[in-house]
Amino acid sequence: MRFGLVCEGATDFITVANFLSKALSDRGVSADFIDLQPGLDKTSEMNCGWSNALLWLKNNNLKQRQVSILGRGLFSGRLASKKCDAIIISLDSDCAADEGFLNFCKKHAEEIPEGLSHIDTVKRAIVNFSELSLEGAKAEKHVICAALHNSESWCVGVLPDDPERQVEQIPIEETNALLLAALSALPNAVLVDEGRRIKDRALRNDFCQANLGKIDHLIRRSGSFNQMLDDAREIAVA
Amino acid sequence: MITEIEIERFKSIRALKLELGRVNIFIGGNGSGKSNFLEAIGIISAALSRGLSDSDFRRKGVRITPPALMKSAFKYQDLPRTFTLKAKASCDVQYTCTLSSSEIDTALSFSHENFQQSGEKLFARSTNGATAMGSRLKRGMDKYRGIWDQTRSIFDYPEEASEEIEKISKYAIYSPQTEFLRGRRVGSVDTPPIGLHGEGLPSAVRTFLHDLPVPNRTRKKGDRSDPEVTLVNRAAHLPFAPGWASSFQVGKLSELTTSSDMELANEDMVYFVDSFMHAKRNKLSVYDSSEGTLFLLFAAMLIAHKQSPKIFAMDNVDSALNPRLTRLLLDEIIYSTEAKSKYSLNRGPEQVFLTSHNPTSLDAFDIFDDATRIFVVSRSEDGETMIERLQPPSGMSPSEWHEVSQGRRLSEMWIDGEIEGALGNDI
Repeated sequence: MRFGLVCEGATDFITVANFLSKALSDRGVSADFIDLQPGLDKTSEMNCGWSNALLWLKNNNLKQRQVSILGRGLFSGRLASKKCDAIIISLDSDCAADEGFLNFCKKHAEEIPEGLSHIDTVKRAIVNFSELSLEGAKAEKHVICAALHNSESWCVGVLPDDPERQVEQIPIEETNALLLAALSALPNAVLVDEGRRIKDRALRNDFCQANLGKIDHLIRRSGSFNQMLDDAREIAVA
Repeated sequence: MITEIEIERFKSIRALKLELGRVNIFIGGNGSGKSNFLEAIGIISAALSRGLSDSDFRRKGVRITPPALMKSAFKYQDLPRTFTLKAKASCDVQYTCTLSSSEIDTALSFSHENFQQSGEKLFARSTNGATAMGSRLKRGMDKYRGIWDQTRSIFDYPEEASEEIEKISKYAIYSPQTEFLRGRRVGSVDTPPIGLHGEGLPSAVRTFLHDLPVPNRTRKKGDRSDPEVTLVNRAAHLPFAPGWASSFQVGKLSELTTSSDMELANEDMVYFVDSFMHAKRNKLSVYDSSEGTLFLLFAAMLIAHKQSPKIFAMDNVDSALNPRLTRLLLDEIIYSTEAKSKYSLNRGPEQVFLTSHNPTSLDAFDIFDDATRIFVVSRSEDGETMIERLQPPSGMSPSEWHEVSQGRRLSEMWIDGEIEGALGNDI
């Protein structure tokens, strides 16, 4: 089973690909993941990750995704690198707190009513930009996910902590501090400036690989990860 | 034209068979094995030219690798001490050679050779001896020289087969270098009309300009086009594409306008007339000309000079060229092979092999056209070179592909990582 992933950046991709792959594997589903979005240049990297992801969805509309990614692909044989069995769209729900998020959605897709929770706001944005509905997404082989707060929370989910404390209950500042401390304890941390460790791809991959054995902690502690896992598994076994 | 190449155990290529087109471009990561493929054809060419000595390989642009390193050497694989190269070509000819490559040899030697046309063996050799045109060859054959070179003057080989061998035997891998094009270094020209790195550029340009085709007056009235003239004119205009030069010539320039850094500063040299400079001092020698212009002039000679090989390779065809000029050069190469084939011209390349790291080179290709082929070169987990042709999905029409690709160019897809392996292995 091959999943194509649309997310906010490289470290999010690494986190989802590692953890979801392990969780699915433990449930009898062999999965690999590819990043559907092209790598960004330095100029675009300065933009919010969520805007790049949403614009990618808009520029690769449902019909195109159905043919070029979920269908026959663009090239034959081994060279069809973007050909997948399903697509996972994962955004951090904390982006709903960004000042420009609602305006951006209104400008490029549809207006989203104010007053919704961060998770519902982000999910609504995803379905609007991807021409899907929340109810019909799985039938179109799409998994829609809004992590609360962000994928860093999922990383913290595998760390030793109070097993009853949901990662969503950990304040964002504490999340970042916990993750930074864990990353800094890795052997290769000396190769990366402290200020860049949270977003360093190689370090994030080292962290995920080192903690795959604790994936059950995350499953126990994160509702958003569980939801993504259930949806992905449902599509895989369908 | 070479229609198919099959390789076993050559350098990073464990086993590979490729059907080829008129223009073939190889893309992929650094060290993926693109040049190894070009060299495999170079060795076939050398075997059908003279033989397997270092000088034979050097003349083809094949690196002088120690024989023991020519054969594949992968971890945990115990492979024979030989490698095999096979080429099928037009006129239903087929050549296979197996070369011995062990640690104790100082040079490669022939183990087996076999050349057939339409299934009929024309010459061959094995441990049991050698044959040519049905006759057993009595005298001992030189194991470093090809049977073809040792028997071509003795036997009356079929004309068509001989012509195909002649074309393949002229193949070489060109890799222009600024030092030679600028005249800072000089070297011998083993591959007329121009050396593999640009040696002998003045002589190539002089003979090119001296031997321009005359328009064919016998064509029907009103038809002023002459495909050979068009091909030559288009190629000759390549060096003007950067936009600053209006003509090129060969001759002596005054000492005041020639760099003392040139190896042969007081001899005939190629110079350009700069469109923007004052008429009294608007002649620029190759030394002072832009690198891209020199590369385009080099390519023009290869494309349109009467003496150019009919089958050749250009390693890094995009050297020194910006994206627009890379695309332009590829357009011109494809045009010239098409014209050569369509009008049976005496000039122009029949078949070209290219490598490129510039994405816009792909924009000159139609992946639905069997005559022009893109090959993606990558390494397997075991390090073996894999080469796969970039094609649309089976059964997809050009209009469907256009819709699915959203009108994006192949160059964009390469950059965006949508062509597996084209960006090299991810770290």
